[in-house]
Amino acid sequence: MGSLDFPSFMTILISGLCTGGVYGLFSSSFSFQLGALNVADFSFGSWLMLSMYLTFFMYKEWNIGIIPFGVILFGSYFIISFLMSKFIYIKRKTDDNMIITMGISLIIQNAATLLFSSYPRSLGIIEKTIVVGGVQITITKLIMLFLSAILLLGFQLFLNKTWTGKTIRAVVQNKEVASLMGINSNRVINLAFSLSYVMLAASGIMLVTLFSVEPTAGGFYQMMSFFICIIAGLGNIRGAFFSGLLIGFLTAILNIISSQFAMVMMFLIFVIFLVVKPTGLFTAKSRG
Amino acid sequence: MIIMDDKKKNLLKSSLGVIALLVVLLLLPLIQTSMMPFIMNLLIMSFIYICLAESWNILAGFCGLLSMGHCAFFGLGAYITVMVIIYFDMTLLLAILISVLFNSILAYIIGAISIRVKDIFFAMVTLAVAQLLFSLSMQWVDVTRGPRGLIMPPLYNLDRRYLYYIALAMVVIYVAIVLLIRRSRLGTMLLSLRDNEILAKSLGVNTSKWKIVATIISAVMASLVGSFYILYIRSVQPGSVFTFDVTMKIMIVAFIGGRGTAKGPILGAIIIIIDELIRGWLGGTYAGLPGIIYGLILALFVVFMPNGLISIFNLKDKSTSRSAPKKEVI
Amino acid sequence: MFFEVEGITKTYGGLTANNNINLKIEQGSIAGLIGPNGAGKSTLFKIISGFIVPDRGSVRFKGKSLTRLSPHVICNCGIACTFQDVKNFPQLDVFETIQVGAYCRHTFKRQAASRAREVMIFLDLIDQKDQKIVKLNMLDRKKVALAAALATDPDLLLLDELFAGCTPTEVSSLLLTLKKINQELGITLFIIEHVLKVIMSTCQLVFVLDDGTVIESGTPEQICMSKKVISAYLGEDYDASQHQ
Repeated sequence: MGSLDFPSFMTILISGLCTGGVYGLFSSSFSFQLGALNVADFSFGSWLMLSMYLTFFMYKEWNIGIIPFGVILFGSYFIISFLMSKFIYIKRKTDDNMIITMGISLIIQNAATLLFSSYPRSLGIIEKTIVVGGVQITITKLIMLFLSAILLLGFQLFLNKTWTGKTIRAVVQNKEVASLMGINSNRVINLAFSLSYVMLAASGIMLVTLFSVEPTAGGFYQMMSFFICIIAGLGNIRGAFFSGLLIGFLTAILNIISSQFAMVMMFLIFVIFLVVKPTGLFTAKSRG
Repeated sequence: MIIMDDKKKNLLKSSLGVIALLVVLLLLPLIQTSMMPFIMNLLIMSFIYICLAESWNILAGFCGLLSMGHCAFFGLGAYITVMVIIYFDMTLLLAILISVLFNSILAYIIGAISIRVKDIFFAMVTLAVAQLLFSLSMQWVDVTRGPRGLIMPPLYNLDRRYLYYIALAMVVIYVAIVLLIRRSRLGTMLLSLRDNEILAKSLGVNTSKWKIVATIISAVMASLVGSFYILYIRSVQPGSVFTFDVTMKIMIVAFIGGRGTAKGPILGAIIIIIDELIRGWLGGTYAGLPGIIYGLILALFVVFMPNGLISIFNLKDKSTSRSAPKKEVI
Repeated sequence: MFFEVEGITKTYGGLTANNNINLKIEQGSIAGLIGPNGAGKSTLFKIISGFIVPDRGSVRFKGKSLTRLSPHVICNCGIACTFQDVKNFPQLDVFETIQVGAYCRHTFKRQAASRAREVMIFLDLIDQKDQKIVKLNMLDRKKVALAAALATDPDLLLLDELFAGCTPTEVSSLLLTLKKINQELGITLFIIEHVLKVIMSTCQLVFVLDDGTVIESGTPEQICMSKKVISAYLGEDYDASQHQ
């Protein structure tokens, strides 16, 4: 640590911040599911991993452009998650859902091992960097940070301004009363669940530009998104983005302190945080 | 009176079946064939998972605490046992005792967490603890030799037949423990706090205390299985004990048999035998296929047979399994 | 004093559920707590039984302060309660449910079982011994809840709207049971009730709660005549004399 000069320190921190932005994006969709819709989805990380893989193959092997690919990916994620929500999750208790989603996660993860092998794949984008006062900033990462912020802002706007968004918020706040107001609560829940999956697919596309992907990556992202959600307070979408940034930052710092034990410290902090403050840091903000 | 007779008949029937099974298992190692080592390996592996599932059942079945990091207790038991033997040159018994002690401390912490956090939070904490131990055992190369793992000194090479009997005895004892707990004060207390914590508290149940007690019992049980594992396999790697696959297998065994029942895991162990067979058959090819099958089985069982195989056999175990009430759909 | 509540105050945000409540109950009596919906009756009960921590004030029972103790400790001190929405353990049968309460005083299974059996005989539940609670009718469920609370050997029993939803015959049979509990076991009862028949025929002392404060206390006859109570229930300009 002593050999680190200030510019490289800043480089690592800023890079951590930018990846934190993407963490924030998928975590906020996880937070949306978990807090607002009360679905405990343990297959989340695996779906993210799958989206990363598909993007990788789209880029490397299949010759379709990003836009048709995006449409197909979002569409299929939307439909699959809608059906899963409608026929499986909505009818069952949290416990059972946890186990079912674990099963699904296992299926996806192992299918990826079977089809794509457990060898890590990376897009290998040559990263252009800009240098400001000795601090290197990777352009791809910067773009991803802004893109995730914009996507999230869009989602917030959608929730606050459109009719569908408003019905979602109504159902989240009180399912029974929303039903009395003539909203088909179950359909709205299914819809919201699918929307979170579309956000998930989008973050998969973005994530693969930054990191390599392997079948077991899902577990890590699952853990991360849960951690971030806890810090933010469940269901707090905006908070999840900011705590995503915080976690990106924290990971960077832990890596500087000791890259060997960074993960160990991370999990330790996670466990301690869950014990000390399971309600989250930004809970006060989410009221009202 | 007729009802009593029926009950007795049922009891007699099921206990006859159990005794017959035990006799077969006891005599099995005496048969001399070339297949024997293979069969014994299968059975010992399934015994290990039966014991682990029984220990998981105490938390998940009785307390309603869905532990997703049960491999942590198991792996810690194995690691501490072998580490104490390698680095401090102590006897096996002492090593096992120390591993039990460490596991009790870990269990105390997790039990204390379970008072504060519930459901998915608890699942995530336990998952995180397991991940923590996995990373630690991978990264702390000086002590754990990282992914290469630790090897038991050859001093403790026990004959496979002894190990088989030890494992069998453990299964019998573990099933008995769970049955006893169900019928004792502890069982009543745990079920009451699982079913309705507020009502339990109002009736004077010290829910925090019982949760910690249950976690410690469960952890000690898993720890002993870990110690047995290191005696049997003779080496331990982070990948073989601390991964989610182990927890998954434990949960599958418990689920397929019947969650929260004492006899369920014995039925559920079928899946371990099938798994070992499939793995042996596929060899190294098609990595991931067994995992897919696991996932499918787990999901399908929860959806279509939430009470497990035991519900078909209808062995009248004073069952605590849930009838999986569905969410009310408006 | 046997049981005493002093200056209990609890606010939720801007809403004051309990505002400086003081009351005293003597040993062996039956006391009632009435008041319009939302007056803070159940909040008070939950504070007494330890599920809600009050902002200010104290609860004293047999000379001991109970404030800030956890519910199970309070139960050990001798205060048992039943809940407004009848709670139960879906997976346990009647016998075991009552046993849960009995374990409060007894460590060993045999003692707890015999205690549970005693209570079941007392409340005439012995025929339903092995039933799951979800299969019982409402009256029996209430009796089971009552039995479990009784099994903890309380000195003071808090009953939160035990009679809600009962038919008149059921009310009379439950009433007899309550009187039996009070007279034969010497247990002090403190009941929240909407069914006025219960209050009028059993209670020696009635407290009336409105907007989180005790507006009146006294014998049932005094309460009936109180101007404050009538106006709290029926509005300011209601003239009781016109309707008699």
